[in-house]
Amino acid sequence: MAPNINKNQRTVDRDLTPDFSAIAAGKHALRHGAFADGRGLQLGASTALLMIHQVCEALVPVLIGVGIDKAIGPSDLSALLWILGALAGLFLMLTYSWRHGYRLTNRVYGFGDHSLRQMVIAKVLHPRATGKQFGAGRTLNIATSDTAITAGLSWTISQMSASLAALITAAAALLLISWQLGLLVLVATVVFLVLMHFITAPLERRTHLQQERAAEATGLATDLVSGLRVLQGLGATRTATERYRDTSRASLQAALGTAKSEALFSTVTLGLSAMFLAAITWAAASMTLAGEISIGQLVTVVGLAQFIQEPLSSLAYYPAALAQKRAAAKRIATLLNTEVGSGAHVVVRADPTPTDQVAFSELLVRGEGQRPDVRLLPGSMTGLRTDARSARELGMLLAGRTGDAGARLLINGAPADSLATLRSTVFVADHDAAIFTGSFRENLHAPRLLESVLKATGLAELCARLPLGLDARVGEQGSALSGGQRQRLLLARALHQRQPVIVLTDPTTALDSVSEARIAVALGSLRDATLLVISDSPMLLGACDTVIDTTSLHTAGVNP
Amino acid sequence: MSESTTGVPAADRLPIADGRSTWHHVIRIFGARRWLVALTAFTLLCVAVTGLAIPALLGVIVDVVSAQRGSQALLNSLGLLFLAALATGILTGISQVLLAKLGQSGLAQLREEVFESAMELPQERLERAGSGDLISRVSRDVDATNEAIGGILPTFISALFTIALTLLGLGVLDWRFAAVTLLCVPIHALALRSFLRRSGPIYRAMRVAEAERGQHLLEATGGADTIRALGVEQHHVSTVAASSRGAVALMLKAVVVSSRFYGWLNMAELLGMAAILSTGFFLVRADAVTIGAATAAALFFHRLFGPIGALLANVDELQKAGAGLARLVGLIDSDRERQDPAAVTHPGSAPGVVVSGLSAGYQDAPAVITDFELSIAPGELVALVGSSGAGKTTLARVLAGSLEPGAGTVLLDASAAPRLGHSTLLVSQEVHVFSGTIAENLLLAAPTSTAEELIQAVLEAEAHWVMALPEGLETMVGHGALQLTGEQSQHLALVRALLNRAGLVVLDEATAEGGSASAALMERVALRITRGRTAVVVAHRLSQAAQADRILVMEDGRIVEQGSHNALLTAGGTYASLWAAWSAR
Repeated sequence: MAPNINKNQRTVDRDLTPDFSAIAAGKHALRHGAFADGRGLQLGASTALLMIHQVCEALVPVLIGVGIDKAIGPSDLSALLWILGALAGLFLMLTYSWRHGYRLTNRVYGFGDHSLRQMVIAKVLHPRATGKQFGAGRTLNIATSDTAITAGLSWTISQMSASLAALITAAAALLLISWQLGLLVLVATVVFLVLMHFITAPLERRTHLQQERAAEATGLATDLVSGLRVLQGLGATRTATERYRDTSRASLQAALGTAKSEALFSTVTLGLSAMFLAAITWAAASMTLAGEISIGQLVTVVGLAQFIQEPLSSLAYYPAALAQKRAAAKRIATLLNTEVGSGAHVVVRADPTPTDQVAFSELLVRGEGQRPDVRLLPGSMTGLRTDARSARELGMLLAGRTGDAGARLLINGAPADSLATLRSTVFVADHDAAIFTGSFRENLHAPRLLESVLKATGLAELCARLPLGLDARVGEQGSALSGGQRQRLLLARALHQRQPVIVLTDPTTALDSVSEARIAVALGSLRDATLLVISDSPMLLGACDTVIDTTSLHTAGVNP
Repeated sequence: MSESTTGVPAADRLPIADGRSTWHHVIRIFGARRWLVALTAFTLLCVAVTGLAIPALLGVIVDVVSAQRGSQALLNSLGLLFLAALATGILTGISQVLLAKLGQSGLAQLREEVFESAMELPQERLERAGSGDLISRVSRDVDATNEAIGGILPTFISALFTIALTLLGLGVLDWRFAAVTLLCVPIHALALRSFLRRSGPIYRAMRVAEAERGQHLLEATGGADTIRALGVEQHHVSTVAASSRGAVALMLKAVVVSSRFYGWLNMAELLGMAAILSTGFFLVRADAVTIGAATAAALFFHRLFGPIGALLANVDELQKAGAGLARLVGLIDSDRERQDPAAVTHPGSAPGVVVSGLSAGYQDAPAVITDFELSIAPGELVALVGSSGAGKTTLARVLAGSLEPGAGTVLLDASAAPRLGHSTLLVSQEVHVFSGTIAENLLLAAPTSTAEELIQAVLEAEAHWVMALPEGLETMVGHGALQLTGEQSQHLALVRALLNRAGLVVLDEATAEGGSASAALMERVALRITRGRTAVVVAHRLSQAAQADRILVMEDGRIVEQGSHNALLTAGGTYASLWAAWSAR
């Protein structure tokens, strides 16, 4: 039992805190996907199995030739039985080795992909990451498509080895029959690969273009349909349809271009194979006529010549596949090596309930240039009316998303140069904060529910109308919520956080004036937390003890 | 996935076509290209014939050699072999181009029809079904059908041709060869049946698990800042890990099922090959066929391994594509608003609006507004004020023509019902920046506008930030390009509204995102949009309501107060107390 528990613990640790320090370049990511965490051994076994499978496949035409030669030609029944027995043995080995080789390679690929993805996610959610280096879309692409492509190296390795094994077996069989024929196959292989190298490159480019165009059309369709209500409101659906049609036609042209390239590729491949097949048949038939090889050996030769076309043409694809994998691996390595923001002493809190909370006595943000300082005292509610840019900068500073928080920010009189201290003191509720799939309750992220907050934000009233109440689902990323419901939930979530200072940015813009007035009054009476409200709503500012107005460059007085 | 998680009632979901209707559309689309279909089929037939000639000629060569018939006969057969192989190469190329032309052009027609249907879906219908399903149809289902038609169908069809003709070829050599080959069919049928039965649920579960993983990844990458602020990084990393491990486990389960299936195919190959060799043995012994024919039969059968695998392995892919196709066709068949050019009223003229006996609401819920009377003069600016649930948005949407009244009528200029996007313009709180340039975003509202007109509208809306962008109107915005802030997005929506010339404009919280600093600016622009038109404005900010000709204060679907700003203040009712709270500074 004990070692098993240890193993599970290790797996969990690898998932949650993957060590990506060793991934300095693309090649490390490739290596990690295929070989790390015991995958190397499995990949070795699966490659061996798939090679055995291809060797067996290559031996099928050999056995057919032997059958013609030894059983059918001389009409020898016992020889036929021997041949059939050998065929059965060959197929059993073939099917067994393929089945297990295939499963093992999939296992290596699946877990390699998983492991790389965990690294990317752990990096993206790293407490010190500022999340700006890569856009969300690009990051998502790396975490889904690039990890899969990189982990696909295991497939390339095992399949390429299997193709080589098939070719070597066929060449060896031919060498045994006649060294000239064996040599012919080897020479033809080399010539074929060189030629293929030249025609696969443009095909790759075409395919890439086609995929891009198809993705463009899909992207446009998604985008336009997402904004369908806006389009219908404007009467712009016909314009949108025309726009989509243009993109769809471009995608069609690209697809036809690829089809032409592919057709050329197959014509050339098949044409070359035809010449090869005719040449080798000619040579073998002449040798049979001259009595150098038997009829059965002739059958084996032509059977093998047919068989090797598949491994031969698949070998031509591997260089391009490898290039694609290297590019994907490089993108992963770049993301994993992006510098994270400074902030010297970061401790990741696995447990949301802290044990080392220091009493909060004051938070001071020094104003830049002419701007006034912002000073927050326990239990106060401060309003800040400022321009959009300053508001955004202040939010980022307080959220620890800028490098040098300590220079302008003081907590309890000391520079806030520890991200852990900053984050356990201040909670910044972004105006466009994310809502996650799940229930209202889950989205509150509350250690315990505060009735007063639920009531004040109107969330209690909202959920009372739902059959499941707080356990009602909010849809993917809150898609089932209206703008107003969203803001109520975000506000309630902010007020449930345990940090002593809560920063609200434009928390009521989507609410009607009646609700806004109600919330302003309620916020003023919630005195557990220190509130900083960045807004220009007269109702909200009216509820504050102090209002700092930088738009008119003076500090308004204390509300009566 | 959207179907399973959002819990849309069955009756509200977008329709999925049945098999008959799906076939009807497939035949319609390919029927329009019947000559291309015929040509493609003919070429595929030729490919199969020349391809089959190769093992047949190899058999002839074996016979020539074993009969020691001299080198001239050998050279003739070799020449034919070369030509047959070459012809196979060239014809394969041609058939690929024809198949692509047929499949891809049909596909383009299909996806364009689907998109058009999506665009014409009535708003009410969209609301009931949720936009998730619609988006997944125009993206995921179209992609799946693309994949099937572009990748699987050609392989499938040529495999089908090859198998059929090989059987024919075996029969020509000797009917007994064809007969023993058919011995494998029961094995194939049983293997396929058990595979489809077992793989179906696993593949479905796999797709759900992968979609879930995608959703978790999307939320983790998109909401990274929020996750860090809440200090729940570990929770999200482990959520992704759990869903990712779940998806991997299902994938491995599916691999076991499919590897078992291929194992059975191998057994069928073994049985068939043994049967062909034995048959060849006895037929040659009885002098019924030559040794060359026995060779050809064995080589024929050996060549079948690939196509049979390709055919059977793709059956389930085609089934999946068929399911996607049914979802696409279902959309084409669904009730949509037909574009009727005759119904477009004259944009630019401000209509009067008369509402009588109106009841409106949403589906099964009780009506939000009942027995409602209202008349708005041409060019009048009316503001709606009230708390959530008072019926403001419902009324606004009925006036804009985006919500069908349950009872009663809404008439513009005493004649026509409002038609969304034609006689009316609706700008709601929902803003969407379309991917592309800013100019393209604006042109959606007025496709014929010149660059000067666009610039003029931008300036009129005081959207100076647009001109300050590095490439001005040509700056790329939206997904994967410059991300506009919520405020800028809303501002852009207002510029669009300025460009559009519908006579009745409905602004439903159209300035809400503006939030703090720019609210006053947004309100100015909104006022400009209403100039020269009949306008209904749902206003959260009372400063916006104050500028209206008439303010309607609504409660529980009824008008409780109405009048000008000053009149209502004097009256000292609900509005007056709201105003007092609003302006308390």
